[in-house]
Amino acid sequence: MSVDWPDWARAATDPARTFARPEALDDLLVIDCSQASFAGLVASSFLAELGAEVIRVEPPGGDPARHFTPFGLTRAETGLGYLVEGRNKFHVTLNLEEPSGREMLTRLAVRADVLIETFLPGRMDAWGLGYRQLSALNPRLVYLALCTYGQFGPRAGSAQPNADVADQALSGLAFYTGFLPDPAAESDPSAVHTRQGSWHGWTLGGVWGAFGALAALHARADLGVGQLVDVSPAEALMRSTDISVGWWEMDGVRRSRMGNFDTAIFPYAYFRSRDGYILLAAVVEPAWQALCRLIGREALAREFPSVPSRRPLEVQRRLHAEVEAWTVTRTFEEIWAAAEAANASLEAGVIVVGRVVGTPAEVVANPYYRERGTLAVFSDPTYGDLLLQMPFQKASASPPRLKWACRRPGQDNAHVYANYLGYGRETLADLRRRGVV
Amino acid sequence: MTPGDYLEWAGRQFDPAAVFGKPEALRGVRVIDLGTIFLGPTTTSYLAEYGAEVIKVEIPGAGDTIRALGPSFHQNMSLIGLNEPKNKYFVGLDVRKPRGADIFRRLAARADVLVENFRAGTLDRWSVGYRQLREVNPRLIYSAHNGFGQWGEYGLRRPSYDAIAQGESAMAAISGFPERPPIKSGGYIGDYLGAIAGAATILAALHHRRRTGQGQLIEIAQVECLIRFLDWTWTYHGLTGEHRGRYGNADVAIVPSDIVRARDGFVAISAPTDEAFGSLARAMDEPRLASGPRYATQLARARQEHRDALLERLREWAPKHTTAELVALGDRHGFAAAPVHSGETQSHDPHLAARGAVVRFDDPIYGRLPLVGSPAKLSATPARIKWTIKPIGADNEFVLRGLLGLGADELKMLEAEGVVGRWADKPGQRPPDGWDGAGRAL
Repeated sequence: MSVDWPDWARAATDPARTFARPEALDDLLVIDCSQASFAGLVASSFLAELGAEVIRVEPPGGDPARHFTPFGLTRAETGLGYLVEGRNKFHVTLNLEEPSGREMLTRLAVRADVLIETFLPGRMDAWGLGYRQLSALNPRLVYLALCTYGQFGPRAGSAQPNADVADQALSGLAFYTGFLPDPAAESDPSAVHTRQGSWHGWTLGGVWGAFGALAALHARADLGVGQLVDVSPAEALMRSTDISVGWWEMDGVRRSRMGNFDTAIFPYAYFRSRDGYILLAAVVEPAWQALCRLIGREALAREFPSVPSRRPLEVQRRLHAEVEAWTVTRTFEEIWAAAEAANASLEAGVIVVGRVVGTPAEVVANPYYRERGTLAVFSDPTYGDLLLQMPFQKASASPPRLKWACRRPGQDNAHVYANYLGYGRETLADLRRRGVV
Repeated sequence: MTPGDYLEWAGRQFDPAAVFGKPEALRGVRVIDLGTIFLGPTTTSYLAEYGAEVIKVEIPGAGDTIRALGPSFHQNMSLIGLNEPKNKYFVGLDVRKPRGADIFRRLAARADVLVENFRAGTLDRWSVGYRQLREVNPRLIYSAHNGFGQWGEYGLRRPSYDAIAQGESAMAAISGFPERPPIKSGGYIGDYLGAIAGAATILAALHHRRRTGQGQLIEIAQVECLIRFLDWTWTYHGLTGEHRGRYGNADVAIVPSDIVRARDGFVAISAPTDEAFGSLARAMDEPRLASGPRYATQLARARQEHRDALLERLREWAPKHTTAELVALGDRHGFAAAPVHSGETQSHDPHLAARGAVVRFDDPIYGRLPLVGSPAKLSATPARIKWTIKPIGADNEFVLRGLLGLGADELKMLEAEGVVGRWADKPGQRPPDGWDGAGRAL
């Protein structure tokens, strides 16, 4: 091939040409009436970026999720998290406590392909808006319910609201993330079970929800009917934690925190360098031997010759100190270059070095993510210029895209209710007076 | 209708005993898996759990590294190897050899989806990349997964592991405590997020193909996927010029939300809405907290000076109660209170068992294994696990004869040339001792 692969791949997937290409899901109508949950918002964002028309239904006054924002900061009364996940969605308000509000949602749902909700199980059903009522009117509907404890099982009746930290705790991930106490220290509040800094439970719940809805739509093409999709974000994150249950049941091992080490492999750990933290990994023996030569401690390769011999935590701690004595006097680029030089004589399985940024500002400063369209300053018609993460996938035929970042509560009432219900200005004014929209 | 009535009805929709009597969502979708460890192979496991026919192609005598990836071995197979693959057909084929590449192209001509996670351009060099495969199958959806993507100077020369993706994306930088370094997650979260996000993107591409007949190239870069899902990290930087720090377990955007010490362990407590905070205040026996101006609204509670004082009260209150008491209070009053589950407590949890989140699966080759079930429960076309891993090349006959029509003599010749093959006699590759071949598709 005359053109190098990266150049060819870039021409095929360049985000600059996205709007010249069609959208994968632009025949779908999605109603997202989630509340106080970024799992619902992530699910509908995923579909909206790929082209689905999404109608966000908020209670009058807006979704409480608009106020999940660091230190209470807002722009035009909307929190910094919601500004990310309002993308490409039409925003309407609707009071589901009012019978006429429920009637309007029913009329939207009759037309929809997917409905997303995050209420406690049974709430929508009690309103006459559950899957069993809506599917009778629209058998093709895919109904996605996202809730921490799911739609069935002994805990499904709990009155506990959705919460990301609960999802992270229930998943098991928090149990074995975090530092272990320093044996010398008296007490250390930072050496505890630790959550991911971002809302990773809601993220997994939302992406799994989008996957479930798309799988159900795929099945609909054959079956002709939709179905109920039940996703617990806690379980979605639990499925992302590989072997904890198996390790306990098969080996009696309670997987525990390892700090910045790995459960099975050394080195696969973070180390200090002169200009920040790095990941250094040497998974197979030739790479470990090469690393020991590099740091001038060949005796370590003889003393700890195999992966199992390096596995005990006290061994990892000792070896970590040895390796870090070398890394801490060098910059990331120097370590990278030294590893590359050492790797030249290795066949398969090399020393791998990666950067661990100390702050998000370093990501923002890296021109790579601007070039790739990963991050961009986006001019939103309603909220102005925002630094935003863009859709993460590249695709040659039907790429995802960002059209607008966010809308105010009810900003699209006139358009959406005219388009789907035939309501004009005066009907809307009446509904507003009655507190329905 | 009462919620109890609804829960009972919902339980019937997802009855585990009825699963194998229902159709599969992705039946008829054929997927080729040419990946290693998690990022690519877990993507295809997810598709296979929902009914896709996944053909896993491995290098004979070497195979996917996951087979030997700790932390323990059972019946000659690593624990992660036993857990991660689902419902795949296993073929041993050396695609680096010209004859192997030729057979691989014939397989790809019969496939709907291909997932690979090599360094950018590797398969192109072996003449089995997207450019070559679209010539034999323009309907093919080719999903290339790796750390940094298929193009761009910075990423191309970099290998990637999950821990690098966490480091480069700033996931590690925003996780953990301010007085500590960035923390690497205990789980391979970049791999798993990339896998499900990739699987969902592939389904969207199939939807597009159903409407247009068009296949396409998809790129999933693990670092970019993590960057996408760091919620308010980037808007915060853009609007304030500050960078998001590490704030420990307490959330600075939802207040209160923290992992706190109970009398007998750790509990996640959260009151994300004003209504839930009112419930928590009642449970704390301080109902007036929720009506004062400092704490009445989420925006007020999130202000630094209010937040610290409120979290202090929570951390004083919680240790007076056991985990079970706090969970019960959450249930009764309506705030979130959840134990920090371990593999052990998940193993004993009746709720997870009833939902099939933990399953005691009976494998045709390995027998009883505890596995984690598929998270998206579909009422009409539920996911299911049929088998986990098999030895390299266990399904050579089924795939190469059944799909491509290779005869016995041809297969024998290809095996002699090392183009087609099976496992080597090593841990992670060797079948269980005394295996009689049961579980092969043919």
